[in-house]
Amino acid sequence: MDAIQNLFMGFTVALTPQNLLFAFLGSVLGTLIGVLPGIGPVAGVAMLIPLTFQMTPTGAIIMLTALFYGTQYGGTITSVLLNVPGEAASAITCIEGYEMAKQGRGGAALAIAAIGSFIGGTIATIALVLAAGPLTRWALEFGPVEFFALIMLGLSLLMGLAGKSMLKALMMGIFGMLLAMVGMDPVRGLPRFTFGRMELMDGIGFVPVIMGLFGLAEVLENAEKQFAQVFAAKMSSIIPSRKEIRDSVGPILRGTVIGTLLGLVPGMTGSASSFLSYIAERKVSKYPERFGTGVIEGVAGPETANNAHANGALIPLFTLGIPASPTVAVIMGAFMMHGLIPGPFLFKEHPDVAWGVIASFYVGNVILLILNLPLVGIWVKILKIPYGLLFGVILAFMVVGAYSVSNSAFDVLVMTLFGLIGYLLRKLDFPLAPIVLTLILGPMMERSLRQSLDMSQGSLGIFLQSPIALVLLALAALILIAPAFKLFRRGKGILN
Amino acid sequence: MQRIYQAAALGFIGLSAFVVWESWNLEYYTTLGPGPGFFPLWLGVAMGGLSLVWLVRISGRSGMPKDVALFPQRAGIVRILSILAALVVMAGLMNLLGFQLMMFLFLVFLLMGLGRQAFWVTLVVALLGSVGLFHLFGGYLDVPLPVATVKLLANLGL
Amino acid sequence: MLPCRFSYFGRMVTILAVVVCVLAGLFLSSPARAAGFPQKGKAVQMLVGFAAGGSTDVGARILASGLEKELGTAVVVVNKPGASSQIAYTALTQARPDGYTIGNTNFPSAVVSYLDPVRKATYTRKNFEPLALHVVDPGLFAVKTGSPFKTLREVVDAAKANPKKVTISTTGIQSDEHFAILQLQKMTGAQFAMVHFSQGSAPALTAILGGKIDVFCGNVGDLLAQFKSGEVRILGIMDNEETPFYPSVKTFEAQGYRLYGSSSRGFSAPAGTPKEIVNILSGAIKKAVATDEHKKRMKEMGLTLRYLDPTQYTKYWDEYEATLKELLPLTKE
Repeated sequence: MDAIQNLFMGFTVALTPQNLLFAFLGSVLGTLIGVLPGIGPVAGVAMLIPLTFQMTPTGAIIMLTALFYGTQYGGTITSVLLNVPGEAASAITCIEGYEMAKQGRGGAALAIAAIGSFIGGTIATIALVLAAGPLTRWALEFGPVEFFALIMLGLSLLMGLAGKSMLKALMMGIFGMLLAMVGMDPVRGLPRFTFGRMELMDGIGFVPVIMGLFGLAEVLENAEKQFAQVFAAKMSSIIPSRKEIRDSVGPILRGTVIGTLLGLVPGMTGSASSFLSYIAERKVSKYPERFGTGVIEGVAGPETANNAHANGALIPLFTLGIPASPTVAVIMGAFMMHGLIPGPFLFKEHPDVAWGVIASFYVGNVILLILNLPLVGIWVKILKIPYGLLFGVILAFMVVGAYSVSNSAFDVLVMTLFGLIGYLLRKLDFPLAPIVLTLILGPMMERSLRQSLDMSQGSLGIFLQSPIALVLLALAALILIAPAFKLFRRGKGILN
Repeated sequence: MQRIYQAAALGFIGLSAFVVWESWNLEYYTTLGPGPGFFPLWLGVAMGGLSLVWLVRISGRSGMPKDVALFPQRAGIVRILSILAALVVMAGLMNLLGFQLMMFLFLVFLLMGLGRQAFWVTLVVALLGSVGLFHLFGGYLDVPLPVATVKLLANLGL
Repeated sequence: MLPCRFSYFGRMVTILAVVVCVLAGLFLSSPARAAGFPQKGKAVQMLVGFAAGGSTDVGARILASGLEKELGTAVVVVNKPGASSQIAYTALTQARPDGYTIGNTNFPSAVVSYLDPVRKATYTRKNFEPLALHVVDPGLFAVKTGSPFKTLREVVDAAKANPKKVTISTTGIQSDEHFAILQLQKMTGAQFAMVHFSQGSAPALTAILGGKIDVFCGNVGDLLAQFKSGEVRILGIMDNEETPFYPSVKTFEAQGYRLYGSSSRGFSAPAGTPKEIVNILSGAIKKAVATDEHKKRMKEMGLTLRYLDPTQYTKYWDEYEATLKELLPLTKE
């Protein structure tokens, strides 16, 4: 096949010592940036661009893209070990991964996450090589109408998150939705719930909020007692058990599909992908009530999804010249600054660059796997540091991380506030996951609804005219009604 | 412990009332569809309703998790509040007194004051955390951490 | 004469406090000096109101590196994103007017932020001292290549014949596209169904290529890739001259519509910055912009260089503000 031939040619480019070095550098830096809370892939890529001026276009792009998907590997580490999301897409890993770490299975969690990330990223790249055309056409089907339907499907899965108490899950979902409404509204461009503060005009920052809800709340909870050793003294083997590996296969495969497909749709973020993978896992699991106690599926799925998403988001860049995510937009800028315009003709005009970069995606994912697996043992040693010292370091990094999102001390205050809120909610036994879900999906929902209605000038019929939207909305309705049926049948009310 | 849950429920109800009140002033519906006030209003109402249901549930039955020491002892509360206060002070004064000075004080307070760490350990970590992070982020990561606006300190390079 | 009931210690403290205050006062109130600007070793801060890596940021950074050579001192870009740059503008207007803080001033975001009372800006036009206009990104209309609309006139006529049926994209409420379309509507009586894509041009591009939107309204810098691959047909450029990026595309003016819309990026200092310093800064920008290296980089980014000195920029600003003032109430409908 033509593509395979070209791919081999690409490998000859990607495997030159120079380009290998760049891939390696990008991977290492990406992992580190992922580990640092607050600084995300966008800032990382942007920061490196000036350094790449001295490099060849191929080398520069290889390094930057390696950094991009490298951050998805690194973000997992602090999420699992410290409950501090390294970056937005890793937030959901905190829920199960950290529980596992507390039980001494942090090493296994990280190992599975690395493997899943590798599989997700690699398969997404294979998709790019083999099915770029059809996948891109699929992505183009997603206008505002279909996007809205997709978001509604995601929100309906909120019902699937209800663990013990549907009531509390709903309350938290609504809370997250309300938080999502802070800022300029998409209809009039008027500030809502901003208390006159400019900093809130773009909404409450997602990263400071999750850093507070998860990371800071955890520190506060540990502060209740004198800083005793928080983590299980005996760290069981960092190699995952047979059962854990078996249990991860399904989530990894599902996560790959979810991540790749959603990564193609401009406007979908990596956190949305990883989150939807989480609730999908919860839905298909035979033991949904175990979620929240440290279930490997809740790590394998999301971590795979966010890497598949990162690699999937690069597909429209090559096929259409459209950046499907903010980080990819920065990478596109990098292309342009080296005199290349990304798009389908790149394959004709500069096949060595195009295929070299694509081949380097494989290489990069392999490098990251090799980098991250052995490092698991080292990262895990961090947990041995006495908590009385560790917590100070964690807080210092969180302060800097929250600040670095927008170079604003206000975000540090936001993080502090949500640390308190997260702590109180945990004490009162409220689930945090629904907040994150609606906080991610809420703005997307309102925006795409407004855009859809702008297109149809107010007519709701536009939703009925799109087959994709109809299917998605029907699914959403089904998911919402099904539990109601079950509950009615059992004779209890909705209020269990 | 029932009281605490009831207080929380009332807190949620209060929040819902606030949201509904604020949304009232926003446009409810425009010619083309829901306006800025539409969703917050209904969400606020829904939240209020659910909170009320929750309040009734926890007030009614006696099926409350008993004797779970919900909140920690006095010492724990003091520690928690200290951490929060330290963070607020940090955020508030970071721009005025510069990152390095504030972070140094912050770490010293946390590590020696709350974490009961030894003096030398605290000193090393605090220096690394303040000056070290300042140069790491400012120099390599393109995140310029604040320098003091108070002239005296700024001239010292803080 | 200190009261006797103050102890010796208390008096010492008081004297010390007074001395410190005097010193602090001396330190804090040194006036801006033009002579010797910029001092070697003292960095000039460039405030950019958009996130790192975005188009504005990249353009600013490229200029910053050029400026460093001209000024002989470090020029550090500080991103203060948020509220469509309002946070950065607030910081800029509140900074000391000594030439060591300059900032990006983009249109329309700068002008809208103080004209629109809803934004509650703490500054007005008077708080800015324009330094130079840097780049202009002219607006354009485009359609998918297979679209039934072959010319600009067909689009406008369709919008006139079927009010609110022709869908067109913008990059947000009160974006430069929004204002341009409002102006066109006023000019021709056409009525478009505007769809605001505030997350940037990528979702809008997807919508147009996917056939969900009829017309794409954006800027010259948005369609470089799509034009090259032949996926879009650009119908007109909202400028007084054709753009080298899309040869053979006529201007709106040439097709009968005197519409000039663009988003532009310039630089300003806080008001009160001494004239000599303003001239030094503006001159340095002018030289930095004229180098081949700079021109090459701007071209690669798809940005159109258009330097204006302080006087010209001020005039441009005033005209732009007047236009926007008229259109602003229309954006609220």
